[in-house]
Amino acid sequence: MNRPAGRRVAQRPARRGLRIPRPGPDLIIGLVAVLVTGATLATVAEPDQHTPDQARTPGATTLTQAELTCPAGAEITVAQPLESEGAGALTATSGDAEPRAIELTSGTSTVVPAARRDATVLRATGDRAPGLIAATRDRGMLAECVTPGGDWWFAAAGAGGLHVSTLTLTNPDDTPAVADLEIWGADGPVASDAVRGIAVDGGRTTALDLSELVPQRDDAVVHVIVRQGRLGAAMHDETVIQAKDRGSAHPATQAPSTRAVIPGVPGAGARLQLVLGNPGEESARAEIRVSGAASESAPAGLDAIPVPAGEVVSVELDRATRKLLRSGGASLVVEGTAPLVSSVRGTAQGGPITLGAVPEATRRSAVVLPRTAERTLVLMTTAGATPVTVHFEGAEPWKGRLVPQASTVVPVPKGATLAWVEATTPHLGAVRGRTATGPVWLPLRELREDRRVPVVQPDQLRSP
Amino acid sequence: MTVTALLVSHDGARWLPAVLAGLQSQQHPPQRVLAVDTGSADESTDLLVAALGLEQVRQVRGGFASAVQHVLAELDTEWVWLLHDDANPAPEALAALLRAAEETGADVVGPKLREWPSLRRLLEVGVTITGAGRRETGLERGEYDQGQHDQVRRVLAVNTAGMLVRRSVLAALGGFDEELPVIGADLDFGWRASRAGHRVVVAPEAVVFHVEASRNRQRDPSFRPHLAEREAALFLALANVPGRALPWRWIRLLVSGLLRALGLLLARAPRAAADEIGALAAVHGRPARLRRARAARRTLGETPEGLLAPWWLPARHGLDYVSDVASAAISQGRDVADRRREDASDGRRGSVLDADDEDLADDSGWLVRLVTSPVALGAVVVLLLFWWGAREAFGEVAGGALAPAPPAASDWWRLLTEGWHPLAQGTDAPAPSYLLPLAVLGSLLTGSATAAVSALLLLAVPLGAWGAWRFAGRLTRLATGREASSWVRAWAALANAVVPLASGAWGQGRLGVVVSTALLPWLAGASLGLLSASADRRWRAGWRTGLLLAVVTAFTPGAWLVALLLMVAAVLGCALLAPRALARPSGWGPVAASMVVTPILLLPGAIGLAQHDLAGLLIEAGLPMRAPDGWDLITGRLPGPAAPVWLGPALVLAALLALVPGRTRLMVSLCWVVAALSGAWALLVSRVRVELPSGEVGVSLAFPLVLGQLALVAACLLALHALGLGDRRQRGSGLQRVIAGAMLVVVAVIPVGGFAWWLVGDTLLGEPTRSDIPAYLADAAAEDPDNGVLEVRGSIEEGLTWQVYRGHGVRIGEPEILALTAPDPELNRTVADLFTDPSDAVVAALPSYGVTHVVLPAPGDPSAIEVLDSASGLTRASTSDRAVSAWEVVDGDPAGALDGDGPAWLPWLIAFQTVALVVVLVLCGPSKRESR
Repeated sequence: MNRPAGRRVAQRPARRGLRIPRPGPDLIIGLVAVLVTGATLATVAEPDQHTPDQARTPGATTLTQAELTCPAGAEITVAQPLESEGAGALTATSGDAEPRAIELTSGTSTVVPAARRDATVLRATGDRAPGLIAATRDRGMLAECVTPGGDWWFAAAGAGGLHVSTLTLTNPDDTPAVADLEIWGADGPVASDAVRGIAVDGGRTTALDLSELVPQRDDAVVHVIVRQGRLGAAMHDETVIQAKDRGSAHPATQAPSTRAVIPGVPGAGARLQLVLGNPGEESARAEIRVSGAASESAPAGLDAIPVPAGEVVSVELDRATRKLLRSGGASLVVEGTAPLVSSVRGTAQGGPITLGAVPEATRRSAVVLPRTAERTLVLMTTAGATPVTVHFEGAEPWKGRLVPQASTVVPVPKGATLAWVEATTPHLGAVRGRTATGPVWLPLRELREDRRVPVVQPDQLRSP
Repeated sequence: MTVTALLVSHDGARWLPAVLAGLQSQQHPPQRVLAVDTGSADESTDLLVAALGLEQVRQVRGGFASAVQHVLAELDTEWVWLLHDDANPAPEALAALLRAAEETGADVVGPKLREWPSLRRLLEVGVTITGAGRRETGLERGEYDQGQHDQVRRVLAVNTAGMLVRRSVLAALGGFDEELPVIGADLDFGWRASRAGHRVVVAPEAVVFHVEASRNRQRDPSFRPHLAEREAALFLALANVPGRALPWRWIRLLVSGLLRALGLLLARAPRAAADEIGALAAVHGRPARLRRARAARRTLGETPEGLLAPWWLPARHGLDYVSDVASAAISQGRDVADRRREDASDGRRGSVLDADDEDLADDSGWLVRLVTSPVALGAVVVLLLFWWGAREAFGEVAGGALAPAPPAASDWWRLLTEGWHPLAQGTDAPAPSYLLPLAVLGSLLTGSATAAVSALLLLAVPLGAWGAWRFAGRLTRLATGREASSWVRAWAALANAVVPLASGAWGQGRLGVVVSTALLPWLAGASLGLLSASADRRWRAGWRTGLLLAVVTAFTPGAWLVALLLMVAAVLGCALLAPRALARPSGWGPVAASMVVTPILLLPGAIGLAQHDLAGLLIEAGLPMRAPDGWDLITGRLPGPAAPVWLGPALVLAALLALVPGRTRLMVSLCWVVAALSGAWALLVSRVRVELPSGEVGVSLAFPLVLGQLALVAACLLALHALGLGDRRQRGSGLQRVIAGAMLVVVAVIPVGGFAWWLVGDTLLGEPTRSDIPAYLADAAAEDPDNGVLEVRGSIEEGLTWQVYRGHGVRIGEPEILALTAPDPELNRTVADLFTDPSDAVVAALPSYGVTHVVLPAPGDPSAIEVLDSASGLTRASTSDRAVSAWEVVDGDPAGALDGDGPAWLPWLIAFQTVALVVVLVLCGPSKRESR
C-alpha cells in the first residue's frame, strides 16, 4: 500500500494492553507454592491459651484447732452449737496462769470464770474446734470473744472528752505479734508514730488508751492491721453519762463497704449518733435507710450525708429516723457512694451502747444470748428470701422466713443462752438485751466450721 | 688426594642419566666411581651397569647407611665422595670440595645444594639443629642463590648428597647410623664427627643440584618425610645433649612437640600433626634406644661452640608460623575481595546510582568511600538509630522471654558441664545447647554474662543486615549473573534487619529468634557455596553450613529439621535435574556433612533430651511465651508487642508481585517453595502438644516464621533486581515499570514502617525487676542452693502458686531445664498442708526439700499470712519492705537436700563435642600456605 502523500505517516500502533506473562512451569511452581503457603498457614492450629485453672476455689477440711480471745471480765460463756461426736479438748489461759481445761459438750454452752484483769485465750482442738463461740460477761456488759486475725475496724471510738475508748490487743501465740493502727478523725487521718509497730509479746495483752495515744474530742475510726503474728482486738468504752462513767463493750464493725447494715438498733428513748468514716481517697455520700418489719424506707427529710475522704462524720439520728426505729427491731442501712465504715453510738435504756455494722454470714451463724429478761434477736437476709431456722439451746427452734429489705424479730425463748441460725442465703443479725446497767448488743457471727484448703500449684518458670 | 665417588641409588632411574653425566664431567674426576643399588625396582641398576660396568656396581638390601657400610671395607682412597641418585654435581663440585678440604683441614666437606630442576633456589648450605629438635638450614623459604652464603665455614653437619669425607674418619665413626633414615643420618654423622673433634665445613663453591626425591616423596609415595625428619631430629637432640640438660630437654621437646601438633591441627594439617605425635612417641617412648645412643656417644667430646642453632630460633619459627596462618587468611580474604570487586565492576558499569563509586580510584581510603556513598552513610545512620532504639540493651536487661543473665559466664559453663543442677528440687535435665555459644561469648567479654546478652541484642541485628547484604549479592549473581545494585542490596539488608524488630522478637526478649534471624543470611550464603565448582570450596561450604546450622538450631530448636526438609527437597530436585552433580563424593559429601554436623555438635543436649523428653526439641529458648497462630505467621508477627499487623501483608503482596518479572521468576518461585515448606512445617508442629513434666508448653513456631519472612524478602530482592531498580541502564517495558513502581512503594514501607515502629513502640525489655526476696535471703540462696526460699504468691481464696528460689533465681539457660523437670508432688502437698494445717511435722519437712525460709511477696494474702503466723515451727524473718512477709524455718538442716548425680556419659560427650567443634572449626577455616 503506498504511503499517502502530504500526510504524516501514522505511527505503527503500539502494543495495546498489559502483556500477560505466559504461565511457564516456573510460574506454576510459584503459584502452587503461594497457594500451599496460604493453605498451610491458614490451617495452623491455634496455640493453646493458658487458661487459669478453673478449679482454684479452695476446698475445705475439718477445723481441728481454734482460738478465741476474750476480754477481761467476770465469766465467759463458751458454746459449741454444732453437734459432733468426736473427741476434743478446750482450755482457757489467762495471763501467766496455767491453761485450765473446760468441759464442754457439743451442742451446748457452759460458763467458766474469766480473769478480771487479763484477757483469756480459749483454745480448742479436735472436735471442740468447729463452731466455737464465746462471750465475756462483766457487770452487765457483754462482749464477744473474737477469733485472732490480722485486720479489725472500730468506728465511733473515743479519744477524749466524754468518751474514751481502750483498745485491747491479745496475742494468743508464743511468738511476738506486731500491729499498726490507722486512725481517722473529724479532721482527717491522724498521724502518730505511737500507733506504728505496736508489739505484743507472745501470750500477752496490751491495752491502749486512745486518749493518750491520739487525744481528740471527736469520734474516730480505728483500723488495726496486724503486721506480724495474730492478735485478738477488743475495744471497751468509758462514757460519761449524767456525770457517771459508764463502761460498755465496743464491738468491731464491718470493713469499709458501700452497703452496711446495723441490725437491732434501739428504738424509743434512745439517743444515738451515726458515725461514718471514709478511709478512702475519694469523698462519699451516705444514704441512710431503715429496714423495718416489712420493708426498707428512707427517713423523711434526711438528705444524703457527705463524708469527705479521710474524715469521720458523726450525725445524730433525727426524729424521723428515730421514728422508724421506734419498734426496736429495725436495722439501719447505710449505703455509700464509696466504701465507708459505720457504727451507731449513744445511750439507750439508761446506758451507753455501741453497735457496729455486721458482715453477712454465708453459712451458719450464732450468738451468745444476754442473760436478760428482754432480748431482741433481729435477723435480715442480704440476698433473696429464705426460710430460716433459729436454734436455741434448751428450747425449740424457731422457723420462719426472711424477706429482703425487712428486719425480722425472732422471739427468744426464756432461758435460752445460745442461738444459732441456719438459712439458705446470706444473712446477718444481732441480739440486743437490757440489763440493770444498760443495754447490751452482740452481733451474729458466722461460725468457723472448717479450714480453707487452697489450691496450690508450682510455678517453676516464673522469673523475677 | 684420591677420591672414590660412591653413588647410592634406589629407584632413581629418571635422574641417574643426568647424575652420571655430571660425574663424568667433573673437572677433577674421581679416581674411582662405585655404585650401590639398594633394591631398585626400576632400571637403575641397568643404567649404573651400563655407565660404570658391572664390577663397579654393588647391590645390597637396606638403606643409605647400609649401602655405605657394605662397601666401606673395599674403599681404598683417601676420600669418599658420597652422591645420591638424585643429586647432580656441577662440573667444578669435586674440585671445589677438595680445595676447601685442603685449605681448611676439614675431614668432612659439604657442597651448596641447590634445587633441581629450578637450579636457582638454595636447599642447604650446611645444616644444624635447634633446641626444639628441628633441622635448621639457616635459609629463608624459597631463597634464591645470589652468593649470599658463599663463605666457607664450619658447620655442624652437611647433607650426604655430595658429602666429601675422609675414608678414615668414615671408618672410625662407624659410618652412618643404620637405624636412622637418610634424612637424619647426615645430621647424626656430622654431629658425631664434630663431637669427635673433626672439622665439618661447607664449601659453597661446590654446587650440587638435588631433587630431594625422598623428602618430596617422589621416590616412595608412602614415605613420610616429615615423620622421619622429626623423629631423627628429636632423637639426635636427646642423644647428644649433655647429661645435666637431658631431663629439661626431654620435657621441653615433649611439650613443644605437642604444641606444634596442635598448631598443625589448627592449620588444617592433620597429617603433619599426626607425624609430630608419631615422632614424639617413637623417641620418648623408646628410652632404651636413647640410652644406647647416648652410651655410644659417651666417649665423644662436647659439641663445639657455635655449631648449634641460636637459642632464640624456635621462637622465631613460632612467629613465622603465626604469620603464615595470618597471611593465608588475609590472602584468602584478598582473593575473595578481588573476585567480588571484579564481578561488581562488571555489574556496576552503566549504573548511574553507583557512578560516583566508579569515579573513585580503587585505592581511595575507606573514609572517603564512606562519606561519598549514600548507601554507606545511610547504613551508618540506621546503625546509630538502631543503637539508640536498643538502649535498653546496654547493661542488665530482661523481660518477656528473656530471663536475667547470671552473674558471670562461668555460671553458663557450670550449667553445661554439671550433670546435676541444683534447681527446683535438683534435676539432671540437660542444659540448652545455646548456652555454649553464649558462654564462649561471655568468656571473651571478660567473663560477663550481661555483656554477652547485651552484645547479642546490640550486634545481632547489624550482623544480620551485613549477612543479608552479602547474601543479596551472591543470590542475585547466581540468579542473573550480575549483582544487584547497592540500593537493592541495602533494601534487602534493612528488610532482613527489621524482621526481628517488627515481628516483636527483639522487644519480647526472644533471643533465639533474634540470633536465628541474624545468622540465617550467613547460613544461606554458606549453603550457596555447595553449588561451587571447586570441590575444596564445596567442602568448606558444607562444614560452614553445618556449623552455622548448629548454632541456629541451638537457639531455635527445630531449625535442623526444617533444614533437613529443605535439603531433602533440594537434593531431590538436583537428582532430577542434574544427577551427575551428586554422583561424586565431593558432590554429595559436603551436603551430607552440612546435615551431620549439627546433631554431632549438639549431641550432649540431644542425648539429654532423649532421656527426658524429645519434645523439648520443639520448645523455644527462654521463658515460655505464647506461640504465633496462622495469621501471625502470615503477617510475620509474634504475639505480644509487635509492629502494626498491616505491614505484614505488605511483604506478602510484594512477594506476590515478585513473580511477575520473568528473568527471576524461577528463583522467586523457589523462594516461595521455601516459604511453603516452612509453612508446612509450622502446620505439622502446631498439631503437636508438648506435654513436658512441668506442664504443657507451646511449640516453637519462631523458626518457620523467620524463615518464611526471609524467603519473602529474598523473593522481593530478586524481583527488584530483575526490574532494574537502582540501575538506570535497564529501561523495562510498560508493565515492568508499573510493577516496579508498585513494588517500590510497597517494599519501601516494609522496613521503614517496621523500623519506625520499633524505635517508638512498646517493649517488654528493661532492667530486671528486683526480686521480692529479701537481699540477705537471696545472698544465702546464692551461696548455697540448699538454702532455698519458698516463694508463695496468690491467696487462699483464689489459689496459691509457689516456687523455690535458689541460686540467683531463674536466669538465662534455666527455664529450659526447669521445663523438663517435673515439680515435686510431695513438696506441692507439703506446701498445701503448710497453708491448711501447718503442724510441726509439716514445717519440719521443709528443710528436707532444701527450704529454709518462706516468703510471701507483696501484696501478701492476710489469710495466708495469718496461717503461717500461727505455725509454731516458723518465726518471722526481717524484711526491709513491710509489705513482704518472711518466715524462717526454725529447726532442720537442709544440707544435702539437693544432692544427686548427673548422667555418667556427660563428660565423655562433652569431650567428644569439644573435639568435634575444634575439628569443624579447623575444617571451616582457610588453608595454611604449605611450607617447603
